[in-house]
Amino acid sequence: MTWVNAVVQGLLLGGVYALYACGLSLVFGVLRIVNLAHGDLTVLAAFLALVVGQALGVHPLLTLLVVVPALAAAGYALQHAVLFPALRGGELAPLLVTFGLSVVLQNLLLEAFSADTRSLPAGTLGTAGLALTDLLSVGWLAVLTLGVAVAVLVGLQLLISRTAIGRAMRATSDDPETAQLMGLDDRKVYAVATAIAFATIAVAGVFSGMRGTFTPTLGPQLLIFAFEAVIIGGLGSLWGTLVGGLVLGVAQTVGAQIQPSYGVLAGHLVFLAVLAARPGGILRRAERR
Amino acid sequence: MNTGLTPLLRLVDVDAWYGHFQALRGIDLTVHDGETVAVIGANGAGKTTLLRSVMGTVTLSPQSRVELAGVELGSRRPHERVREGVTLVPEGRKLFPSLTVRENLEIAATRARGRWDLDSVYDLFPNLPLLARRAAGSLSGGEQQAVAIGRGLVANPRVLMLDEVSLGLAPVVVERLYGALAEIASSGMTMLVVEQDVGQALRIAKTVLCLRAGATVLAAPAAEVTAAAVTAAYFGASA
Ligand SMILES: Nc1ncnc2c1ncn2[C@@H]1O[C@H](COP(=O)(O)OP(=O)(O)O)[C@@H](O)[C@H]1O
Ligand SMILES: [Mg+2]
Repeated sequence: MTWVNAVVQGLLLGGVYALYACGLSLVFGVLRIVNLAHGDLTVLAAFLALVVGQALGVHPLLTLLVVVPALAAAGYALQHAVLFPALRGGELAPLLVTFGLSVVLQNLLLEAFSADTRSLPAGTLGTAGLALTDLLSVGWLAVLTLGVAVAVLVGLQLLISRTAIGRAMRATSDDPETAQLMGLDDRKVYAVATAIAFATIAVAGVFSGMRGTFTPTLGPQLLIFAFEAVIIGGLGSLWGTLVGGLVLGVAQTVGAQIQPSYGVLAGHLVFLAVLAARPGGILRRAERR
Repeated sequence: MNTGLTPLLRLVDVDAWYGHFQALRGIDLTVHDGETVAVIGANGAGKTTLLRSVMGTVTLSPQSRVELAGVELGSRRPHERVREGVTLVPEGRKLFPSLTVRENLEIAATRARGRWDLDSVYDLFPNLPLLARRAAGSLSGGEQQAVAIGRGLVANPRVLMLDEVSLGLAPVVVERLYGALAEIASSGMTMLVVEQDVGQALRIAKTVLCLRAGATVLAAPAAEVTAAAVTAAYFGASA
């Protein structure tokens, strides 16, 4: 039963990782930009939810109404004003910009909030659970997080495959120069895609802030988990990102079941094993370059 | 050559540069409303660069002017020029390989309805509806070229520019595509056609411009152009 429990808790943890990873997957897969500030932005979203929740005295879930638009706007502005112009300096330039942003964000958050460990007060949602058997119970918040992760990834997949903006994103990703010749404003397409990715970062920040704790310097750790989920699942595939998150979560909880200190290490080992055996990831999309 | 038609696309003294390399020298060209102009010339003569200078994807000298219906395109970005009414069917087709045929067409379709939409493109190329859901990257060269032409049409441009439609295609396929281009021309579309296949070019064009080493070496009504004159202009022999 303890193993079943480990797997179930792992799947639920995987929901968090999938949520961390979807914004990274989108920016990476569609725009081919590696966002090294991804984790720090997730932490920023959690702090923003903390501040908004305290100021308005509302539940963290309600702060999504502020945090999601705020991050989306920041994403649009960052892409439009900084990252897109930087692309002209070669593919390395945006990487350096996001690295710089990562450092700046960590320092600003440290300055503003000190190094104290925080979490978002989820109230009864955070403590209530459902006992499946005597030995196996799941927390509602964990289940909700997994559900939200699935919903966000399904939503992104539909957006990309069915809508005009999704079509524009795929075309621009295929061939930016020709996309312009077909009347697409590549700068705007990139900015909208980044806004959408940042909106998912906001959701990830709020849910992970409720499920666990965070500090201003947690970002790089989150980035690594998100990165592993994306690579395990396969670049450019949103379903892959969901699978990658779940695999990573299960690897960590099962590893911890073997020996508590092995959890994160087991995740890294599975990541390396997938990279060695299937470099394209578990669900690599065949038609993608 | 003044026929009393309105000039639609006008290039005046166009110099184009790739870094320090000058690819076009003092090109003047006028395309009138409803006419088809063919641009011919050997490989590397500057034909593609001429079309790029209209789309704004190559650097021009400051004195160079590119006008569409009297509006200077100047500093406009490529996607804004599409909105103004020029569309390029690029050399090598350049379809979006991971998009379906239908999506490739939809992406260029203008919201404002014009003569051309998906249905009229499907009428022009009757084999496309069967391929609509296939990934564009999986089509044959001729099928891809048909989609590329259709993608140019659904933008409902005022001037449609085509770069080497016949490139790498079997003669029978080229024949069919030029049949479609003749139909497009007779629908009143203004066209600027770059072509190595001089025979096909002369078939649909009213005026011919021959480039060599980035400069105009021949500009004449198609009816008055002889094979000998074209050969001479192409290779720089004294005619
Ligand atoms: N991107 C580029 N960078 C540098 N030189 C180029 C570039 N594109 C074309 N050229 C040069 O410009 C000249 C004209 O090229 P192009 O317009 O493509 O010729 P054509 O279409 O007539 O074959 C050629 O000498 C070619 O080598
Ligand atoms: Mg060419």
